[in-house]
Amino acid sequence: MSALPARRSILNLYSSMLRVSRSFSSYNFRNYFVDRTKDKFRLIQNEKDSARVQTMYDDAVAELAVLRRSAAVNRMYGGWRLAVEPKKTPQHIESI
Amino acid sequence: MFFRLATRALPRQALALPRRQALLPFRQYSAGGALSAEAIQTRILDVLKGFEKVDPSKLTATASFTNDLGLDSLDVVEVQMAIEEEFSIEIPDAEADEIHTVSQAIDYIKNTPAAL
Repeated sequence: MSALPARRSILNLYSSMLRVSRSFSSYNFRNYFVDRTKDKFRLIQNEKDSARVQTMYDDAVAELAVLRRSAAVNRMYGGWRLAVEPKKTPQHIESI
Repeated sequence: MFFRLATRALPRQALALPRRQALLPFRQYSAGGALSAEAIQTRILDVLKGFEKVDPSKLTATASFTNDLGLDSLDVVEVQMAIEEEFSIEIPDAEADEIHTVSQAIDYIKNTPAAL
C-alpha cells in the first residue's frame, strides 16, 4: 500500500537524529539518546514488513521534533560536566 | 625624598614584570594554518579505528567504507558523524551522501576551511 520511505531519506533522518542527540549537554541524556537512536534505526533496518517500516519512520520523524525541543531546553539547563566526561580540546591545541 | 615617596605610591604590580598568562584553548583566527594533509589522514584513520566493526588490518587511506571495511549504510552515517565531531564541523546531507571512501573524507576535510 504505502510506498517505502526512500533509503536516502531514512539515512538523512538518521544523521539528523544523531546530530540532535549529540547536542544534549548532559552526559547521561546525550549518551542515552545516541544509543537509543542507533538501536531504533537497527530495528528499522531489520524490519521486513514495509507497512511497519513506514510507521516506524513516521514515529521517528515525530520524535525528532520532540528531541530538538528537549535538546534545546537541556542545553539551557544542562548542569555541570561530569567527572567521567573527557575534556574535549582539539588536538592541535593540546600539542602547543 | 620626593622620589622615594613617588616610587612608594606606585602599586607593586606596576613595577613587576607582567606574569605569563596561562595557556587557554582558544581559536586564533589570525593564525592562517590549514590542517596538514598527514594530520587529517591520521586523525580520520584514528576515528575509524575507534569503530569496533572496522578491521584495523584492512584500514588504508583509500579504503571504501562499504566494499573494503564492510560497513553498512547506517555505519557509514555513524562514521560521518564521528568525523564531524572530530573536526567540529557539520557536513550537509547532500555532501555527506558523496563520501563513500576514506580518501573522499580526507579530501572533504582538506577543502573545508572550518575544520579544526
